[in-house]
Amino acid sequence: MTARRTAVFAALGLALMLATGVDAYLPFGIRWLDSAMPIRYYVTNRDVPGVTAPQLQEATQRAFGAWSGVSTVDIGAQFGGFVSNEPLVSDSTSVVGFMARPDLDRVLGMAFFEYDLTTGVIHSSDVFLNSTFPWSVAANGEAGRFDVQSVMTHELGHFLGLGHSAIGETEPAAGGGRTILGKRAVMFPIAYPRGNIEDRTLEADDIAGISDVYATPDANRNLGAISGRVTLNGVGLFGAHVTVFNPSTGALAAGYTLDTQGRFVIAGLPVGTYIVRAEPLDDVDLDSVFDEDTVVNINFRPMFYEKQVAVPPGGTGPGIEIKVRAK
Amino acid sequence: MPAIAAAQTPAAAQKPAAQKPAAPSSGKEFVVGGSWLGPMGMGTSSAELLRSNGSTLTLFDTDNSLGSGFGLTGGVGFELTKSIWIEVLGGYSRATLHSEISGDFEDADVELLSADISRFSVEGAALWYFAAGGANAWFARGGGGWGRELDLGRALAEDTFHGTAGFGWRHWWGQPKGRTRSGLRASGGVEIRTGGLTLSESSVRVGPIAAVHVFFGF
Repeated sequence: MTARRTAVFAALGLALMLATGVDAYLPFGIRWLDSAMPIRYYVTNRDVPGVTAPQLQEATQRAFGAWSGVSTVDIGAQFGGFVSNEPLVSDSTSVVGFMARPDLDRVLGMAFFEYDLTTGVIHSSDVFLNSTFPWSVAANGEAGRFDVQSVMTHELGHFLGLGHSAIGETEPAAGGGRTILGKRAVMFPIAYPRGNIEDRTLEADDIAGISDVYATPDANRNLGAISGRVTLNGVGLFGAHVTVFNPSTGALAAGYTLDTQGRFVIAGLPVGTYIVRAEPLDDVDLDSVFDEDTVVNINFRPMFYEKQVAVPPGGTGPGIEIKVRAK
Repeated sequence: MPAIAAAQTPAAAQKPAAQKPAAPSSGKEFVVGGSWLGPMGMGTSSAELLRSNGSTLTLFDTDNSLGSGFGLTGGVGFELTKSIWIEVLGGYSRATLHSEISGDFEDADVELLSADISRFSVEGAALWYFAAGGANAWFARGGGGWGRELDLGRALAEDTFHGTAGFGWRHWWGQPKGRTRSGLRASGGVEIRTGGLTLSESSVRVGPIAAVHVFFGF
C-alpha cells in the first residue's frame, strides 16, 4: 500500500510556529532502500529572483553532500535533469523546486513523501522552497535573503526520512509565533535569520539521526544507543524529550518517549559517557512532532538522570529510568 | 683474646653491608596490599546552543571529576642488583565519576550525578633503593602499564595507559635473617593516565596515588 503523506514543515524564518526548549531527532520510521542509492532527483526548471534553476540544483547537490558526507552512512543522490514538473505532484519522481506559496507565509519550504505504509520504504520525495521569500546562493550568504543550501539541507533531512529535532530554544515573537534564541540541529524546525548559513553544516543530533536510519554495518558496530523510560509516579510518560550530552565532545542529541510506557531509544551515538536529561514538551507545537490528537503530559519538571550513562559500541547499555516529578 | 678479636672482626665488617641500599634481600618477593587513587579532575563542559550571531547559549554547565577510589594490588618483584628491583603488579579498584550540573536553562532537578566505575590494571615498575639502615629502606619508584575501565553496568570498557612516579619506605619485620622474610612497604606519588572512561575533552588525567603493601621474600 502506498500513500502520500506530508512530511515536515521546513525551516521557517523569523517567528515561527514551533517553540521548543528540548532537543531531539525523530526518525519517521521510513527510509529509502539501499538499492535506491544514489537517489535520483530532478529540479523544476524555474528561476526565481536571485536564484536560477541550475543554481538551485548546485545548492541542492551540496546540501545532499552534507548528508552523504556523514562517515557512518552510505547514502547519495544523483541529479536526473531539469523538468517542468512541480514538486508537489504525485508522479513517483523526486522533484525539487521553487513554488510561490504566499498562503504559507511562515513556511520557507516543505518536503513530501510517497512511501509504503507497510514497509516504510520511501518511493519518492519532493521538496519545494517558497519563492514568496527572498533567496540567495551566495557562497557566504547574503543579507536580507535566506540561504538556499541551508534550508535545502534541512528539507533533505525530511526527504531522507527524518522528522524535526528540537535542539533549540525560542521565545514568543511580537507578531505571533516564535523567534529562535539558539539551536544545535539543522533539523530544528525554525531557520536562522536571513543571511545566515550555519545550517549548511550538520550537527551531532542530525548525524545521530541519519546514522540511526542509514548506518552502515561497520558503523553499527561502533555506534551505540541509550534506552530507558521516563516515568511520573511510576507511570510512563508519552512525548517527553530526552536529551543526551557527551561532556567529552560537547555533542547533544536526543529523542522522545514514544509509547505509554514512557520508553525511548536514542541511537546512532558515538561511544562514550553521557549525561541524560528529560524535559516536558511544553513550549512546542505538538503537531510538529506528533499527530494532532496525541495527548502529551507536560506537567512535570525537567530532570537529570542521577548517573552518567555509558554508550557501548554496537549496543545499548542497561535501560535507565528517569523518574520525573510533577510541577 | 685473639680468637675473640678474630670473631669480632667479621661482625664489624658486616655492618656496612647491612646499610647498603637493598639491605636484606631475598631476590624475589610477593607483594600484596591496598592502593588509593586520588581524585582526578576532568574539567568543565557546557551543553551549548548556537545563536544566529555565532555566540553560544548555554543549556547547562558540567564540572566533571573522577573521585578517589580504593583497590587491591598484588604481584611479584625481582632483584636485579642490590639497589634495583623490578616488579609486576596487577590491580583492581573502584571509583566514582562525578558531574556537577549548574546553570540549567530551565532549572532542572538533580545537580550532582555519580556513577561508579571499576578498573583493572597491570603495571611494570622499577624500584631504586637509595638509602637503607637496619630494617628500613627508602626507595624511588617509577612504572607504567595498561588498564581497563568499565562502568558498573559493564556496558562500556575503555583501555587506559598510565605512568606512575613516587617515593616509598620499606620496613622488614624482625631481624633480616636468611632468605625468607617479610615486611611492610608504603609508597606515594603521582599517576598520569590517558584514555579510559572520561568526561573531559582531554583524556589525560593526573592525580595522587598511595599504596601499602605487605611483601614476602622467597
